[in-house]
Amino acid sequence: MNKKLFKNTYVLYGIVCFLLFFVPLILKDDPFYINKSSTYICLGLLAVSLSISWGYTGILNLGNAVFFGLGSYCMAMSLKLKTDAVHTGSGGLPDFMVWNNVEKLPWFWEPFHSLTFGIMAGIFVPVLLAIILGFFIFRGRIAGVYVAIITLAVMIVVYLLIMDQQRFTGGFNGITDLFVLRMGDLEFDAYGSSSYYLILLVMTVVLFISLLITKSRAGLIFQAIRDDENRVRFLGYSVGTYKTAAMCVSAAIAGIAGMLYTIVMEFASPTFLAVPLSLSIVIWCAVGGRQSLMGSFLGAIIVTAGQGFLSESETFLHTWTLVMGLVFILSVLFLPKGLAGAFDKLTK
Amino acid sequence: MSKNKNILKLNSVVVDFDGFKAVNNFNLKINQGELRCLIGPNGAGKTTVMDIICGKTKSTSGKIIFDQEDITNQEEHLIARKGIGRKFQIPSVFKELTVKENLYVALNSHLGFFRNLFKFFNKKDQKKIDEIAEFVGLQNELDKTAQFLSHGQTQWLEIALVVLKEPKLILMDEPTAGMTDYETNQTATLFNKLKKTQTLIVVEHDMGFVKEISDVISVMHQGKLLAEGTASQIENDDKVKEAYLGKKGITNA
Repeated sequence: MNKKLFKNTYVLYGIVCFLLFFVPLILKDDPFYINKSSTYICLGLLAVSLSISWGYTGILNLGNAVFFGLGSYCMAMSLKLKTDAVHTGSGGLPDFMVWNNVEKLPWFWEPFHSLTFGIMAGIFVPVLLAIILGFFIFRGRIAGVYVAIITLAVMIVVYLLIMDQQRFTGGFNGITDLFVLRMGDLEFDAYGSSSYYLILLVMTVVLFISLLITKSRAGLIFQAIRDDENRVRFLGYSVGTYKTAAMCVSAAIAGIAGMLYTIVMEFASPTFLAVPLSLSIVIWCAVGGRQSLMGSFLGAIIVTAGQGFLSESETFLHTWTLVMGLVFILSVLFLPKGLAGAFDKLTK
Repeated sequence: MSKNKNILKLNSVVVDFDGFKAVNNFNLKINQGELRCLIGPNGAGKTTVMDIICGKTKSTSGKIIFDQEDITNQEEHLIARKGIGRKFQIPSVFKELTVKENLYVALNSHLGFFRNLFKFFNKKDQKKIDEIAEFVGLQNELDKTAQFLSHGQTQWLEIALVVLKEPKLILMDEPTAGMTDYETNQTATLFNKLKKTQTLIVVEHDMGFVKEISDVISVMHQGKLLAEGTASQIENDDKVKEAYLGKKGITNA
């Protein structure tokens, strides 16, 4: 095989996306596994989002799942309002609101009647939060572990808010019993290959846009900030603006991943922006290689698929968390740049 | 006229670190096109002076005028945009990027995020980068990752980053620290080339190097300006001898 071809990132990424195209054929349209594969791709995209902020810009965002969760809820709100009247109260009021004695649809739910608005909100609500966070964190020159603590805390605040405001958010149960996404004549059944291909298509587009960003001058400046923030500042760049921008790109991707996740899971739940998921993203990136978008993407798929496989097998039923922990420790010890770093070494 | 214009003026600048005056009523005037060496014993406040010029440290009182503009205590990146370049004592380059990528980041062009989003390397950039790489002698290292450069090469790379921005004034903090004799010589040649087009302030300990490159030397001691003059004037100045060697001079040391 031509080695030079393997060094071209665009070609490599193209090959992976192309191979993923055949997954439903290999699975012979088995609904369970197609649904699983779709969720893995969504989580892979979530890892790509952290790769941009952590791997490229050096911002360890432990609360990355908050963007994912917000995206997920935006999609769920739109789909909920489209559910058949049988399950809803008068005037299309969502079922959980009826149970909570809410009489009128709250104002911030109103615009979600439009699916386009829901999709836009799924991207821009996370971006808006990233701008606000970035403004306070990076203008105040907060760096390192403090960023990790603040982002984690902010995510927990949003999580608690959603749990607390059960009347408007479904609380602990989340937003369930959603309408199937329809676009024109196409219906995206969570267990069918149509959803899989929709997710694969969106993922391919997002992955290549992300790749272009990281390869552009802005992407180089992100990496320069990771290596030596002060040097960048004294070259005349506004480091705070760039860091906020990196976080916005990351938030937009996480939001998109969250929306897709809602489509395949058929609900939105507060666990989508809870601590366990958020910390898992860090592990996926560490195993796959946080300084590589594809590495992080595959890291997420390998780890989550591994978790699924181990927790379902009888041999590892009680020990699978230990095995996953071991994988994480070994990869941090022996593959500081993750699987992507190992791949780079092999092809050199 | 423009040749002798003051490009930088420090008017009675004070930096007070919780009662310790690192810089105390310090005055300095730098002419356009000059190479000024700033020397002094350890703790004299040389690096602090550089820090307040480029905004890294805020001054307690006093004024800094650069190019007829008051830049006292402005934000670092805004001062940098006005044309002050800073090279640090500890070489600061982007370790995980290649030499070429390092230079591309420093290239004098748009600084905003959206102007750089989806902006890619082109032939014109390549030409500029080749020029500067040859100027500092890194033309054969362009594809090397910066962390694998030798100490001297790292210093030159940082100098290249600063020069690429085409600043009106460059501040160099101990550019030869930790260099071999050969590297120091190379650096002196580099500075004599730079001097022709640039205004520079250089903080340095190596007197051989200072004599090699300087026009005027300013000596600092305990946060104040002690003496100013050519290398031979400075060497024969009693106050300078005292500051460096103690009151009794070299014979009783």
